Amino acid sequence: MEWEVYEAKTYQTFAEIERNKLKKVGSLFDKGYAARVIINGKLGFAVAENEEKALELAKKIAKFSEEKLDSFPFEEPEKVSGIYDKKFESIGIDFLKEEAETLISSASKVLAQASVIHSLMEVRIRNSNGVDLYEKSTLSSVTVEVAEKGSGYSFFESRKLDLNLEEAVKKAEELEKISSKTKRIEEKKRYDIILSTQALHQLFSATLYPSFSAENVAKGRSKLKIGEYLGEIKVIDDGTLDGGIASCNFDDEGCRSRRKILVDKEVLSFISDWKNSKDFGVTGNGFKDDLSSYPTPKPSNVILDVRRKSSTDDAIYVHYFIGSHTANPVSGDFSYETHHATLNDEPVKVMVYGNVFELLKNLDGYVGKVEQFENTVSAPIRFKNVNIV
Amino acid sequence: MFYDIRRIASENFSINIENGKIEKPKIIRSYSKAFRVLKNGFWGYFAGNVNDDEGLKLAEKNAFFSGDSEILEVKNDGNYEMKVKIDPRDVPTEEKIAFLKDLNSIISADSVRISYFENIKTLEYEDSCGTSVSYKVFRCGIVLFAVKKEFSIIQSYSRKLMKAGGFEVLKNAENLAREVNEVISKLLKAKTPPGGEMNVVCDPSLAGLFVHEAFGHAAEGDHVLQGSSILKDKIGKRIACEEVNIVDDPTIQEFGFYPFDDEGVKAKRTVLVDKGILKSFLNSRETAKKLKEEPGNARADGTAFPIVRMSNTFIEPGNWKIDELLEECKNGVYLAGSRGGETDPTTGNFQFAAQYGYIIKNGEIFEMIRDVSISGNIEILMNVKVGKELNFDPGFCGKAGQFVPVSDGAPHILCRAIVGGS
Repeated sequence: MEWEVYEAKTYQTFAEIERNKLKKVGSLFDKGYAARVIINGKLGFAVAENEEKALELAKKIAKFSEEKLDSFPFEEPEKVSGIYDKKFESIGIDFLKEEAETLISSASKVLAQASVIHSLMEVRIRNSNGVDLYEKSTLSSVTVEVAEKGSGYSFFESRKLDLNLEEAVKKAEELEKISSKTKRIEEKKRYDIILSTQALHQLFSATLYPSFSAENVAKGRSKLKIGEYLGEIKVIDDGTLDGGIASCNFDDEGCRSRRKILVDKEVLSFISDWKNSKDFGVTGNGFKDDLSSYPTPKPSNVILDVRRKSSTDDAIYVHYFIGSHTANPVSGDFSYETHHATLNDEPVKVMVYGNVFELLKNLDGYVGKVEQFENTVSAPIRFKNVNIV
Repeated sequence: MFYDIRRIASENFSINIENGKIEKPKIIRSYSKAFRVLKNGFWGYFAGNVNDDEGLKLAEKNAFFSGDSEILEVKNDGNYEMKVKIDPRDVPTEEKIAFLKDLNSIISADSVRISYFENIKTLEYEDSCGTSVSYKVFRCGIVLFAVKKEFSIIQSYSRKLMKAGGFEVLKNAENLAREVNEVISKLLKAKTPPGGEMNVVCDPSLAGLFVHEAFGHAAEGDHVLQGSSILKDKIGKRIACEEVNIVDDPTIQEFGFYPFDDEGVKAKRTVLVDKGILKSFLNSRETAKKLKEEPGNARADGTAFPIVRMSNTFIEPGNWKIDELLEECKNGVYLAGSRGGETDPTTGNFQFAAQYGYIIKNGEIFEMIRDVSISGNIEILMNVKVGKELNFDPGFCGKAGQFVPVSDGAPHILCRAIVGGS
């Protein structure tokens, strides 16, 4: 029998503000074990509060499983910098209070809700090949929601204890202003649109990124083919990015993090977990949604590299969509309502309708500076002739 | 000082059949505790598997500030153990696999996934008011997902059957598999929808999503108190036309069922809208105190801090037969199935996606359309026509990153909204 034990510990502290008052402070300590075993080439998986129980339950599953796996990985990890900040170990309640005070004092409008969360994560992966990997990482996030006539929302993350809280409040307030004055464009025609880094993330994580999954490609759930022209864009999956939100030394199966060029105008490669690596190569993209899920191919940091510079003139600038998870992840078709959008600085509202693969073929250029939103690293991008309802 | 303790155990077994083969089978077991302390009007919270005294101390340590939070001091007691016809643990794994493979064989597509799960959740709750309640609830479900390709066209379709109860809740799964098989084939030939504002007949699944997204979130007491609900000062006022009645009822044995909420309050039916008039919000013990309403709607994802949530939320049946709704619609679209949605409770704006639909011309159904979504504002409730037959659609609602089981229900409804299309 071959085995693997994935041990995860999370220490978290958070503070929540409601209507400009600090309302609650909390902390948690979570610990769990996920075990995978291979018996006669069949994989079993289970999660429990201790290692022995997890292994015992995984063996039960392997008895009837038809999930095939020959072995577990054995790779040296990458040494990625900027994913751990020692300061997290000494966060006290005074620090949380200070952060809350900064958020409240930065606000000129009503903060319907705001929160800061600081997490310190430890992961240890051991397997029957003698692998024993350990990683400690940190992550902070701030969420601000402003609600008056309209509503505005902002979300920032950092691996360090350096959240720009004033900026988070400012952005949410600016978006609230847009939302309160928005008017639907009645004229039904095609417009150029600019998607902010956040809007790009909303659209691409629901439509484009699943198409790079080796599992989806193997199961006929991806429209992408190697060598096919995608657009004037380079797409890089980089788990080694310094301080990247999705950076790590190794993936959730113990495969080394790598930098891979997925697209250079045409599709060059896919991202794979260990199971699909026989056909797609080892890419270090076997990630779990949470402790209780199987590792499957998922992107790390996705860098969208567009070389041509464009302008913001006469284009609808989309800051944020609502309903972005409603797209069709297989076909890439989407129709999203804008929540915050402007046309020549005037707030507007439109429904953007199309297909992500067609949209990429109409890519015009980048606008503004590169930012990271969740795992998307990009400048805002302008697309030509997009269908607006 | 107020405190409460939750002890939560969960046992989960799940299995996928992908293209006829067992994939990703797993057993997930967890046990953890959550502690809350309300001191000087300020909440301190801790979650972790520690003994009760230590947990309460850690929560109290976080309650270091002062504030204006208060809760209704109510005392409840009781135990509930769900009686199921077929305990899923008594069904041999081989039998479950054979059942799922049979469903798989009904669907002819390029890729088919049948996901099965069974869950048993046990909750023990106690608080400083003397409340002591516990329950054990079963949930079972399947999700059917199919993908079909023809030339460069690729389409997917999915349906869910998930309920509180034992293995018996899956008895109609075959009908659902047949429906998936029929729709996925037709989708390849479907056309892109027309775009613009038009009359829309929503099937119960999409109308249910509408009542959850566009109305339900705005009726949550925490949004009301945060000032982020368009319904915040609308109690006693007309927010919908006379034929609209909206109810949230966790006591119905649908997917959003619970016997006690995560603050130990006995579950109860809440009439939110009566003949178009807003009657009540949904409440936790804290929002109930501030809004002078009834609690019983605080729910949590595992050990997370309980917040105001929906359960089984639905529009009660009206008087219109489906044929009459189509005739009344005259020209527009019929939209079916939901692919999820989102709302902004502050403004009442919503967007949600249907799985497919049909063009309606002169009150009759014509060609099929696909990849269609609609947007609008909660104000569309002022002019809707409500059908006769109520159906529920289950799902997980992800408010504030916490996922809890819910079901959304409605009969067919006719409304006017913006349809996303060419």
